[in-house]
Amino acid sequence: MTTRVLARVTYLLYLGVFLSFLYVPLAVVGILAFNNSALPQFPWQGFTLRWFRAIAADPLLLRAVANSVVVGAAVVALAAPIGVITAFLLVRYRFPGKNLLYTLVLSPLVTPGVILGVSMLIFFDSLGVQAGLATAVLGQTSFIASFVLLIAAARLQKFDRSLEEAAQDLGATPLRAVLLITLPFLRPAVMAACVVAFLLSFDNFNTTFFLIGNEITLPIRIYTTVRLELSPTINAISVVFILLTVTMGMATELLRRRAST
Amino acid sequence: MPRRTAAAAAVLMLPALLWVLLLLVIPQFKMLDLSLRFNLPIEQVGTEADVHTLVNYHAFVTNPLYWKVFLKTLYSAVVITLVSFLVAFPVAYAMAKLASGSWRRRLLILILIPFWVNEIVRTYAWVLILTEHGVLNQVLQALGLMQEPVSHLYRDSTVVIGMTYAYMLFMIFPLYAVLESLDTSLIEAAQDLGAHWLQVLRHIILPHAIPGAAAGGIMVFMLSVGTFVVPSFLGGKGALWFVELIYRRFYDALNWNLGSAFSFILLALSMLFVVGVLRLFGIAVRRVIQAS
Repeated sequence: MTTRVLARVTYLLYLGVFLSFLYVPLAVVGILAFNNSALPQFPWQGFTLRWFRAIAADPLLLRAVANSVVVGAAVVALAAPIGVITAFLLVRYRFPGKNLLYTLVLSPLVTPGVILGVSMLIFFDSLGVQAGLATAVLGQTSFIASFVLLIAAARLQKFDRSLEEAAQDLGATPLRAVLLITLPFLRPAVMAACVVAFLLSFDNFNTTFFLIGNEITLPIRIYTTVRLELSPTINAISVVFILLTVTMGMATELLRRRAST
Repeated sequence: MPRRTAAAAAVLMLPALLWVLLLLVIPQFKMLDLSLRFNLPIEQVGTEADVHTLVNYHAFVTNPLYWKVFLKTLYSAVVITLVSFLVAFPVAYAMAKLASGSWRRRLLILILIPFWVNEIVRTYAWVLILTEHGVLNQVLQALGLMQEPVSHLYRDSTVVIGMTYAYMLFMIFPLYAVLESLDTSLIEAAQDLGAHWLQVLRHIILPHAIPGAAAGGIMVFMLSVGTFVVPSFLGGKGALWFVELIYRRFYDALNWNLGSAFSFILLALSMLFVVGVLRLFGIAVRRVIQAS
């Protein structure tokens, strides 16, 4: 009995240490965003919001956020249709080379993001296309479409095709049956996939870094600022960044839960 | 296939083909091709001087600096993957089998939140802790354990800790998924028959967890060999890690050919790792994807 209790206490202790290891660094970032000190370090010199106001006064940071939103929206607009249509293709049709295509469309999930970025940088350069926001969008789409595909395919496999057949028996064309019956069924999965796609785009550094040229997105801007100097403004923008991505993460979790019922 | 179905499949195939060809296959072939050419001045590119060669791969094999950086990156990634498994397994097991309904959800959310925080922010946090006037030194000085503050940054061990912190969460969720699908009555039956908990772990839990461990391991390994941010923040300007080496060929040394060779080596390494792990454990790609 006592060994049981001991085992339990050890286990809880382990979880506590693990969670502290996860959260203490984030807490340091968060607390120092509100510290009235010119450097992001302790001791505590009083509460201030000036580092958050400094964000609004930093044109590059604002531009980075705006670019991130634009890039994210463009990635969603590209990756969502590509992923969903490819999910239809792979779930519903048999054709020669299907396994090869399957492997290829999932390969970005296990390819280092840097490789995707470098290879597309070389390709676009050989076409005379300058690196910038557009190339970053294409680079991100290359792997984000794979995530959309997985989410859409999982839902599509659960669809009862007799519903579509019923619609056709009632006189709908096959396309109309898909539009009226199948797509509404897919909606929660597509919505979840869109939020995931936006989140992954908003978060991306490795692929974007090589394809962004002289432009900036939020992660790129934070990266270059940290390389230059440590400033509490980075903490403030980090807090904003954390709030945004965690909110989006929660939203995907809720949408996915709905999609899996 | 009826003609109509075939036509529909052809139309649906179009976006997939554009995606795969323009964003994946052709760029990666271009990269391979560029890695097999000399680094020529721009006016000679495309002339008869622009022939295929193995000079870039030869440079990689013969230059001990490149080798050392490559092996360090590879070795660190393996260590990080193993450590992540050891750290993550008890947590995933607790979530899947020990925690009751409401606690399981709370624990899951507690672990998901840092997972959603950007890698750059998570690594920046460690800069604030480990820098000369950072949190760690202040704590050590307050406790009287240190007189003169020294920076803990710019060491390889720091980079490894940072990578473990940044990527180990990618191990937890696949492990959690497979452990949750393990029938608890199997564990109980083994215990009723007198099995020691180590035997239960070895013969029941671990075999069932393999696809999850493989999925998590592939993710952690790939992120570790492919990271740029963590060594860049925690390793300092002089720190050489493999992606930094690639980056420098593209932006400082302006030798895209050698950079492409390095990139292709990294790509080959990741592919080998994925295939190796799947072969080793005799599992199909699809099970790994389902777990992750």
